[in-house]
Amino acid sequence: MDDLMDEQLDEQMDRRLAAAGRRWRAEQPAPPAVPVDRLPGSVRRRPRWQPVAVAAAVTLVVGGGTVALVRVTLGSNDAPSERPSSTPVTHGTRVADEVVPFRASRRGHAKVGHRVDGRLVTPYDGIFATGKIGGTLHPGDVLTFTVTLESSARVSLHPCPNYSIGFGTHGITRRLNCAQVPYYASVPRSDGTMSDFRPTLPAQTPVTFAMRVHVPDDLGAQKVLWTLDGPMSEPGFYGIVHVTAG
Amino acid sequence: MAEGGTPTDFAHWVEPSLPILARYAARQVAADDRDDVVQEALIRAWQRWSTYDESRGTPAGWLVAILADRCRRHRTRRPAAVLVELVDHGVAEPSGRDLDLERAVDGLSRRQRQAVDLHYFVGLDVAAVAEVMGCAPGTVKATLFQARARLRELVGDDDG
Repeated sequence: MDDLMDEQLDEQMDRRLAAAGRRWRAEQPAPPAVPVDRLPGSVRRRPRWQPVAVAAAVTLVVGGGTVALVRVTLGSNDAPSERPSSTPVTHGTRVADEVVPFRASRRGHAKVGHRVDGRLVTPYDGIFATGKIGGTLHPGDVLTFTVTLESSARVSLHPCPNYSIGFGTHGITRRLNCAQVPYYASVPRSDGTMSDFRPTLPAQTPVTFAMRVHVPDDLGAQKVLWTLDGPMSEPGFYGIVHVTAG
Repeated sequence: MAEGGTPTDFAHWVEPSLPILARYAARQVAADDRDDVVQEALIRAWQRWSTYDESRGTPAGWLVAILADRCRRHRTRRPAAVLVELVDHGVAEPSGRDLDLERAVDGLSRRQRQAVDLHYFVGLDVAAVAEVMGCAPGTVKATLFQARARLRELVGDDDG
């Protein structure tokens, strides 16, 4: 009798789990694409970033170890295969040829860094960020702008850094869209093998990211501050946005 | 190598398994990390594609086994706090979900949780679960039976 009861209860739980699984599967977003452009031996772009112009691979020697760096170039077929030696500078803002699309990723990791003599040191301290923020918008509008990151030395974007946007008294922290940065590097491990290709910010090469943020309800001139890896961190820049009633 | 040999061939070969991989990753890591972990696993699978032997299992089973390894690495290299979901205004509250049961699943042993995730939530049959877990199908059935018994204890038999 007990066995029969157990069997019925087990079947009941089986059905309940199956139903929960079906509901959960139905809520799942679409799976990611196969990262064809990140497969070693391939430098193809993802289809949505077509058409592909040219991909170039260079090998750098850093600290006695070899770092394989792959750059995937975006743009039209007749675009130049390499960036011009002098990057255009507008209003003090350096803009890369390609813009990494916006992706609303939630912050991805705890604050990185360690203290040296009481001072917080992070992997991103050598990064210089520029951008231009401004305009007149209404509450609920979407403010769009770009952020260009550049460093004198190569900086790994793995883990992918967070950034914060302070809009007046409001703020949001997200993670950069590192998955679509068009540069990848593979570094040697201690055992002599090479790591997987990871998104990277190459030395002396600007990488521009698209940004989007909703305009909050506060009216008037609002300071919009962009900072990398936390609201109190550098690098960063700001601009003034005038928020007017709709 | 199973078929072809170019990244595009690999993408075609992998594509039918992508929903399964995404589901498994979603059960193992924070939602925001799902795509990154799946893509890391696919890069790893590409590097090892030549070792795939179709006589030893399905592509999905082989790929999920690689993904399971990447998920483990992902969890160990990040602080636990990372897995805490933060505020996201773009995600609606789940509706109609059996939250009591889902919470109870978190209380299972690691092995039981893996079997339940793979079978009920990812949607693999017992043979494929056995392939991923590296055991016999009978062992999977026994693990699932034990997991269901434990879940009944955790949620109460009368809650169904």
